[in-house]
Amino acid sequence: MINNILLVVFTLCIPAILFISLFLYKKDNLEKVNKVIIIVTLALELLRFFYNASFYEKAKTPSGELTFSFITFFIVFGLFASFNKGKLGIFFKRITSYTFLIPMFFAIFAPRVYLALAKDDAGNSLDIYAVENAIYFVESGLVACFGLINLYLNRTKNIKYHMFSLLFSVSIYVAYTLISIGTKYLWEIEYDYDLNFYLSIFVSLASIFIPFVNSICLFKFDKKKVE
Amino acid sequence: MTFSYGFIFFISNLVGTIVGVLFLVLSLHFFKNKDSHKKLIPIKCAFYFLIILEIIKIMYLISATGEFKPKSYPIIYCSCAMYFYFIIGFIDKDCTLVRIAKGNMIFVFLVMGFLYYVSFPGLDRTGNLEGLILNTHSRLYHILLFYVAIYMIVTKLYDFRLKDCIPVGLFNASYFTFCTILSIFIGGEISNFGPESVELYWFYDIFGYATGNILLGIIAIFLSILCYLFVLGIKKINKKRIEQKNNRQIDIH
Repeated sequence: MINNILLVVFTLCIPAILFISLFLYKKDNLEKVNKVIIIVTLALELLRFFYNASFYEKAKTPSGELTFSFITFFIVFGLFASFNKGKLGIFFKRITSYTFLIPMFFAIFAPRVYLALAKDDAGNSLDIYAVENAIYFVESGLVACFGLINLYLNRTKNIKYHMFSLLFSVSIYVAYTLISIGTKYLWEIEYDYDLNFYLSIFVSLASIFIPFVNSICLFKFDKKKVE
Repeated sequence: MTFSYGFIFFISNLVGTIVGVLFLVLSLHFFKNKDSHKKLIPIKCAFYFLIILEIIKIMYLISATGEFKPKSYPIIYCSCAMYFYFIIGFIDKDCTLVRIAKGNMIFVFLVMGFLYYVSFPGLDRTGNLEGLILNTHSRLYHILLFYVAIYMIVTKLYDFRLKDCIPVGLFNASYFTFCTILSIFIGGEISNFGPESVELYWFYDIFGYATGNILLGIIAIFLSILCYLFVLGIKKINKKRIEQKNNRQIDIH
């Protein structure tokens, strides 16, 4: 119960603080703000991953709980949305505008999967300081900031736009749920090869380089066009 | 030789009050109507005084007890006053750092200094001569913060700007995060924000250690916004009253 309340508080308060700061400092360049937010969230996600992984001394690989949270997906989408100026970027901007509250709802309705509960419960009982929880709560707030800013930047009266965006977002959510169910099934039948863990490392680390490679390629493409 | 709570409370408050009042009276007498550079001289003097106090405390703790616990490191919250005084006194620019220092001095240390006036001596330090010395040192240090904050308000060394609420709040939030990280790595209590904190164990029991400290940071940011809104609101009301008074006087004439 307390975790749920804290999660909602963090998800509401962090955007509130950010928007008050933007109002007081009269910052107009929201695209740049979004880039900073998504990079900070990525750093926190890596921290959360390695912090959790470091506690599982006895296990061969860390538990499935710390891999492939929806928030990891969201961060990858957010990187594409912020650093890709083409159609892919716009597509992911739409997705992030509608899915920014999913990390919060997932943690409320499936806390054992997403949060390290009290030391006596299941989950990461070695994290007695609830550091993973704190990082997840802050990420949930930052992700909400990102989504809200994208919602504001892509505001339109076009109903078709909203309908298609919702459809894409729902399909992304369904795809993620199927992957999650598949992963849990593999864990249940004790499939030895931990694809999920290695995939999550790859996604987390590769996502750092994707926006930079993308920007460099686009820059070279623009240069050629000018020549 | 043992002393009662009441005796220690009285002596330590008396020493702190004498030094604080002397500081305030002399500073206002000599520097109230001077330019902004000369008004910083009492802040510089306060800085040197706090440094000397801190060195004496550290040397006494090591020689008398043989230990130097994390709770006494000069990175606890109140020790930040030394660094703030240095920033305010020696950096002669109107930059964000100076404004954070001034904002914290007035909003945080004014309240903290006042609380030290009314709070009872620390339970682990009373009874013997060591308790008397350490309590007197502690009150002298914190009560001086109170009087320096009053000096800054009276001499208008800080002009309140609503924009400053965010950096001041963010500084406090970052400080709590820093204490969390440091306490996990080196153990002990940094500034009463350690996991085994006697003062905050009930809070950490409800909200968790790391989540609790970040929640404190969020509360600090919102409190900072409220404090600035409150002060600026009062200033605005005051300004309106003066304008109305002046208008009435003009009408009469």
